[in-house]
Amino acid sequence: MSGAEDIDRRRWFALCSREDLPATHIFETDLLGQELAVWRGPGGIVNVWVNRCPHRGIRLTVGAIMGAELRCAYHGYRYTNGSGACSAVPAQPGRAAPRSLCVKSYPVLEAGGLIWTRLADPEPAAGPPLDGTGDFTPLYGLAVKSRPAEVAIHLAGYRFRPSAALAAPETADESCSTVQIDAYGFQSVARKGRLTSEVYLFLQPVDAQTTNIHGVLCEVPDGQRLEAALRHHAQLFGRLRDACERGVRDRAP
Amino acid sequence: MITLYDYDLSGNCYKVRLLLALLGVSYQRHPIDFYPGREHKSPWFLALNPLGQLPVLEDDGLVLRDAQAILVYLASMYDSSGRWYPAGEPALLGVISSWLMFADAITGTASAARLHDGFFYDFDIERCRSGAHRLFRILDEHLWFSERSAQGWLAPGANPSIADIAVYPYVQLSEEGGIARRDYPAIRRWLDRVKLLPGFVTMPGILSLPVHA
Repeated sequence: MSGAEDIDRRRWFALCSREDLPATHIFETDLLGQELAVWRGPGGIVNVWVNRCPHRGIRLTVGAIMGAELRCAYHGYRYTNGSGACSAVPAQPGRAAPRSLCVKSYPVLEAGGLIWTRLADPEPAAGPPLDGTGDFTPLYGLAVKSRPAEVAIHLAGYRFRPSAALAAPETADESCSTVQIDAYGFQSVARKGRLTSEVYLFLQPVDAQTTNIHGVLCEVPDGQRLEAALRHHAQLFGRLRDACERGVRDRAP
Repeated sequence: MITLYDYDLSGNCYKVRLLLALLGVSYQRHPIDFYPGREHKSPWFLALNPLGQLPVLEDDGLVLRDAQAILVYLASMYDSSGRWYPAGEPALLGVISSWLMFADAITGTASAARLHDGFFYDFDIERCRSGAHRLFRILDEHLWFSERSAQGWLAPGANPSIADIAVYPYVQLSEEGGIARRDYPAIRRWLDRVKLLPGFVTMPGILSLPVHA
């Protein structure tokens, strides 16, 4: 493993938004090729687990949430919210669950409306670029069939309009500037007169072919403005994805 | 008594069984040896449905083909709540019909990929899979917005409709055609919602979810 990949395994990455984790749902994603099962248990605890049952290796994402436990779909082994420890083996009802059986779990942070994790120690000095305070609206995120560096090139040119200006046609006095925070993060500000909107955009290296884009709007627009803003960014993300994937295809031999 | 000409492993037959179960309507099954027997191409079956396709439904002298058409009929005939196919709401019926067409497009891609992988059909598999992914992207974004503006069903409003039942099976079975759903979180949540409907039934390849969870 190269040094850069090693650093990537230690840093915090956004996996999904808080809305992606409704009760009893098991969210599925990969990070740097590591398959993950993500779910929110009782007490608001978010679990980021290796997506394999340690018993026979089936994906935990085909299992089910039963109260404070995730039940594997294959033999019904149960794993505990918060720790990943096996709590029950249905085929051995009278016996305690084997202590050594535990799902590997990763550290979790919630910040800026997003769920973050990292795959390796030691913990880096830098946390996620967003803190837990403030109003954030997670945007519709999507998967791009391209590598992070490719997507980053397109995100650097991200241009959007302030939420409060969307009801009217675009005018010449509008502007937008995007700056790259680090290899996987961008901050973008749109202006029209005194109206401003700010978004953060984060890249998740999923696997060798896939990069997820996660966006958050740093405000909570009301009613129709919210819908318009969400649609606006979803449309821009879709175009960005198409442009990015066209670039990948055009360069293919 | 309703008779369903049926094949266990068919998603299009399953969607009819699913709606019948959700509506609590009893029926009898006439199993057809689709694979390897190709009974759906036999002379007697072609007399019933010249297209040689499953499912076919018989009810009181009416013979209906095409899963989507059968869903429309069953909901109109047997759903006293009027929720699954709301006859009095033209705009909603239009939206539902557009998703019934979408279900057919899913059959032509995701289901075709599954026929290729599991039943040795001679299809262009890459074309099937890329076509399915194109549709899944549209479906995922639509469902994400539906989760925010309504209850997360395909058509607007508080209740699922036959649109959800028509689209569901071949999306849920897509992995049997090599089409992963990892990149479609809103689709994955919607699949859970369908599974939690009261009266939900499974088919081979589809697991249930514990309702009490």
